[in-house]
Amino acid sequence: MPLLEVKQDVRDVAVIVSAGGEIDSGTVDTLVTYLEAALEAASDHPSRVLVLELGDVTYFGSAGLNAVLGCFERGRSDGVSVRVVASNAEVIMPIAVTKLDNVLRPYQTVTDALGGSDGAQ
Amino acid sequence: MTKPDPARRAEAELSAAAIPNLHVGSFRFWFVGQRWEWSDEVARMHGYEPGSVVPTTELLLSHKHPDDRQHVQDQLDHLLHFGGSFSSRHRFIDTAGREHTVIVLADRMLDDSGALVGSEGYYIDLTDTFHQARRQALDDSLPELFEARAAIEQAKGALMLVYRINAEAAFEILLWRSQQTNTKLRALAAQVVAELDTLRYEPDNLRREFDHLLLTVHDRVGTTRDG
Repeated sequence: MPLLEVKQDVRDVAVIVSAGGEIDSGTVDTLVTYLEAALEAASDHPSRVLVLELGDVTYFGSAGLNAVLGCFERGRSDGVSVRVVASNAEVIMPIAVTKLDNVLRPYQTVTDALGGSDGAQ
Repeated sequence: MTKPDPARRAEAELSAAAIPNLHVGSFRFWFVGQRWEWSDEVARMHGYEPGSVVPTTELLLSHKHPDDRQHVQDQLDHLLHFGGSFSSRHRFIDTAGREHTVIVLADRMLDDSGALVGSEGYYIDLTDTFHQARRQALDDSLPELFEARAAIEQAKGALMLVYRINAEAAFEILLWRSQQTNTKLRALAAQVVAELDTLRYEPDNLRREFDHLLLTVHDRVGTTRDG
């Protein structure tokens, strides 16, 4: 059983990356590799939307926070809307205490994220 | 009545600048950017001349003990989830291949808006400097360190002035006295601060008087001083 599992799903409406498990300094490289590939895919996708689903993440450290923030910022400069989905405390709390929720603005569900636009929340 | 001989002998040791063999260094870690700052002492613990390397996540990973899955950075991430401050025992391998055991005292680092931006605190290197019993004594005193920061910082300031030393050396000396006398650091520091006004301001005698205060202060912890 790997510590971190990441899946990419290219749908009509968006590219969706789902991560589950532990994201720390030992596993973050795996996530970063997936995020880079997903950004490539999303920039070729008509929607130019990348949804990052973190609901099954069981450990979210600063390495994960940086990877997600880095992906968000790269998306912004590449014209891809990166939308974070998380309602679990494990992910929400680090984003909240660092006040990065002003930037990342996590959505509650994938449906919300697909319906939302930047800064909608 | 003058104090008995043991205190005098200890005074002589301190006057001979017998800095305890306890290595304490400070660090800062920023969550965003995963950026580190080490004091010179923390660099030396890892085997580097101060200023010769930039501490990074990769560099820290290269010092990770092979039996540990996580390293210190992941432990600092604790603050993202639980707030407050914490201390933890941690080990790493220096550039010469020696294993170090350190206690990491970590507190939150906030920006002006109150956002948690990282962690700052101390590394206390226990390697080769303590017998097991003394390590235990230090472990036991750790949880109170951050609860009693004000008293400890004030006592440190007094030591810095009197002995013309930096903050780290002042902290080392307080820890040393705490261990040697089996007195809680918080109580020791508070008592030092409470007794500062008993010193006469005669610069020539100040250090000697302070030596005595510092080396006997544990005997008076918990007693009320008559004005």
